[in-house]
Amino acid sequence: MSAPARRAALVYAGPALGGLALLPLLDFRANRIVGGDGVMAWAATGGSAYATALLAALALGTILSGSQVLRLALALAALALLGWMAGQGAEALMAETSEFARVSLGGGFWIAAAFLALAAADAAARIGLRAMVRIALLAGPVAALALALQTGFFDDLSILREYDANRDVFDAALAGHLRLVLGALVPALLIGLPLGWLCFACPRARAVILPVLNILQTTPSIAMFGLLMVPLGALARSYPGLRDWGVGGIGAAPAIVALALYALLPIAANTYAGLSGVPAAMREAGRGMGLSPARLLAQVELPLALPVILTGIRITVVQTIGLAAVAALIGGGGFGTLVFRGMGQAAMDLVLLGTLPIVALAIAASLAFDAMIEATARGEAA
Amino acid sequence: MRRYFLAPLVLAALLVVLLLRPELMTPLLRLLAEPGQDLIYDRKPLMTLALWHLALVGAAGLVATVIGLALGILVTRPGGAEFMTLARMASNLGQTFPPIAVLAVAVPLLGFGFEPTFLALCVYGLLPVFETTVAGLRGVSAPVREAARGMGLSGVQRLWRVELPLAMPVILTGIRLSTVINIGTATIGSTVGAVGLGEVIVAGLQSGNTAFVAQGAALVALMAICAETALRGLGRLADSGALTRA
Amino acid sequence: MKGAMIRVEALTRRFGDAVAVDAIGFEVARGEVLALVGTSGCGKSTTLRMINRLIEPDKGRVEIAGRDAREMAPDALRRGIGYVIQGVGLFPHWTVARNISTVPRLLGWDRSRIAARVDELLELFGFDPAEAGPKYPAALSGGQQQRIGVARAMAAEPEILLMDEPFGALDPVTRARLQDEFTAIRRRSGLTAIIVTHDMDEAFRLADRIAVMDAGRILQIDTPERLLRGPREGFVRQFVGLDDRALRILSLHRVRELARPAPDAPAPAQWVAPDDTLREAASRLIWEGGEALAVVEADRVTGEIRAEDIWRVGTRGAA
Repeated sequence: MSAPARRAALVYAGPALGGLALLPLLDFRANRIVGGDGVMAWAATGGSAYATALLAALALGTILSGSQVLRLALALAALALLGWMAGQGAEALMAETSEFARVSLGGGFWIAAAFLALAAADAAARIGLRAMVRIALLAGPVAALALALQTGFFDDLSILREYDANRDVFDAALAGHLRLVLGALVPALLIGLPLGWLCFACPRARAVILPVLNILQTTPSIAMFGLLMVPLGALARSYPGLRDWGVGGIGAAPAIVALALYALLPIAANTYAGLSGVPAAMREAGRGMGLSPARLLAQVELPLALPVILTGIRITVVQTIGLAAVAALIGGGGFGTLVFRGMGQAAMDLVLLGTLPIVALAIAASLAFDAMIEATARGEAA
Repeated sequence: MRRYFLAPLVLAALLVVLLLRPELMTPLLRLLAEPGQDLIYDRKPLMTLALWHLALVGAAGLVATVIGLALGILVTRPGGAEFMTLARMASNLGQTFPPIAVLAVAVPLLGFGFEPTFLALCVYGLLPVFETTVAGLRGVSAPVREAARGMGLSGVQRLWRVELPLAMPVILTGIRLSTVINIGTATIGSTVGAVGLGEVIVAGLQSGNTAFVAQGAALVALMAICAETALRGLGRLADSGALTRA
Repeated sequence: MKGAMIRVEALTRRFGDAVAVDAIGFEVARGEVLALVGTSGCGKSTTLRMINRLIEPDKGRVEIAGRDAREMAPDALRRGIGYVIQGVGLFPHWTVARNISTVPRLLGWDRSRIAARVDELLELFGFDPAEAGPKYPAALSGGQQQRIGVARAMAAEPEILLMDEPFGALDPVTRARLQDEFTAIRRRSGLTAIIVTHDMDEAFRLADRIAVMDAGRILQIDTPERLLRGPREGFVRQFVGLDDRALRILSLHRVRELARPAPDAPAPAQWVAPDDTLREAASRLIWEGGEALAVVEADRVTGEIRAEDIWRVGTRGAA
């Protein structure tokens, strides 16, 4: 491996090991509320000097290893070991104390996990794997994590204790979050795609549509939720029958409308950009061969614009998954419920229980879209 | 000059009038409130809240811009090229974190109030600035860069005299995005005790006072749109070359 | 060659495993123009870029006016050598005048000297300084941008000019005009220049000597005429193109060289000027079907040129 690539590897391994050296792997608290004691990775109870040494060796191996495939393998092995240390440590700590005690993941764990994951992603990117392969590769660690969760290996960690205590809430939040996201995306696509085409086909419409959508996008999310409460609340008061459909000033309805309005700009703007990015020569050639405007759109313009349009949808999906968290403020449900409840109770683990699934959903969505964009763009690159 | 800044000036004037004389909104707010509820939020003057809001966004924006610019410049220099993948991945990952999550994670570290919001704003505002700095600097055409090098401009001279001026319109887009996102995030910050216009909305939501929610939402939206149009005008000015042409 | 302006010895550069330039050596005398020609990827641009150290050589040395280029700071070296790049690369955010004054400013010339030099160059390249100076590059045509590109390279009165496809991407008419302009300017200023081009005709028009490159090596370096008369076997033969070499040789000579005395008379209907090329004279002779043409200067006949003399220049044995 070249010297620069080696230095780059140092950028990941350095902070990962530094984080573990300076910050605790786990936090131990006598109960849910009190402050905690840090447990370092090599501590006699809850840590393991051997495992720490092995982890350091794996991390250093990512710097020294000659091939990117080996680097990827080493980084993944280090991640697995880190996970084992956390689960094992929590069990060891809990074995000695009351059931009110809590063991949560410490700063060292998070930093090491983040940088090792980045190191793995970096190695995967340098190997030059296609998006589909990257997803398939990711399935391995995800399956391992799922298995570990299933078998209860991590059950002594407080985040899973929170999960146990809030299982109903979590499941409802998951369902609510998906409902918010899908509920907003479907209408946004149905409206946004034609709007984007309209911007492309009619410059005068564009001069109105894009600035208006831009103002919608500019409005802060809470403000949007708040402003929508007013008309929807009024509507529900005037026609009480609508309440049975879930329409009202509070709840999922204003949240879904607000999220859909937010989603319009990236969808419409990218559809417009994609369509207008089709080279004039191709359009001319299509027209010259006698394609009708509708066929030109279906057979030439849309396929060529697809990667850009999908990029817009990808941005929209990631953005909507994140913004849906705010909907909890107006009773819209979703993972935001856990986040806000956690903030209210100063319970970091509850906050994480709400945050991590949001991030996981967003990453999963962007990976899936990356694969789709790559698949549709391949014809163009050739 | 005037055509770029007419809209934001009008909006800013409207915002200032509404902040100083909120009672002008009462006829409309009366329609929303339940009988007997307060119409105008009066626990703190709205103007004070707006100024705190702006100060928070401005201070965090300054930090985010400086760090984002510095990082963007660093990874586009030959010596920093190897950090490019790391920076881009971190930045992509950062974008999958919703603002509320950044805020939520910052609270246990820094407690309630100004600090976690400020940190969340710095982190979240940094990403667009970084991304557009990289895009803008990379967008400087190869012949222009080659010419600058071939004529003997030193590295610093190339950066200051050629690359940054040419990248400026794109970087301004990033600063605009960052500011708009941060006005929104600062509003959410009121749920963790940051002083700002979000406080009015949160108070309204907690007490079921739709009038509070509506006035807070309207004022925050107006502030965001005002900032957006002003920065967009600045971007157009840069595009026309008035800022960077020597 | 003592006192060569540019001397290149055993210059070598690899990119990864590929050898881009392979132990190249040549000299360019003061006031001479050398053309490096070859197909894309033959190493000609890399060679050029090693002379002003935009690329550092792996081996070998470059001497500029007797000094080793490695002893000079790269930026200072480049400020002393004019460089015209493929694609022009004018700074879009600076006016034409500011673009031209780039290097003089770096060198710290005073304002009045810079202004005078900018005006001088604009006029030299056929612009009205008051009109063109404040314009931005985007307002210029492609040909105008190329000319400003050359003017910018000459701004600090460098003794050496390096040009990489300086007139590429232009229509043939504009291209020919710029080539003529450049030839006139460099005769007047005594510039030493190296021009990289893939266009053999451009090399013939502009250069005193031509180096034909392939796969990182110089296969032959010679004057245009010697290259046409005695090209080495293989790539050089193929690249120089031998089908119309007689005509090409003719285009290297002027009518003046072969004119015989003739009695003074008013100009007839068909004639040539002393600075026309023999190729032009031959073409006219073929068209008119005669044996000789009048040579005319200022509307008076000053001599004549004969077909047999012209044919002799274009024949295998002539030198």
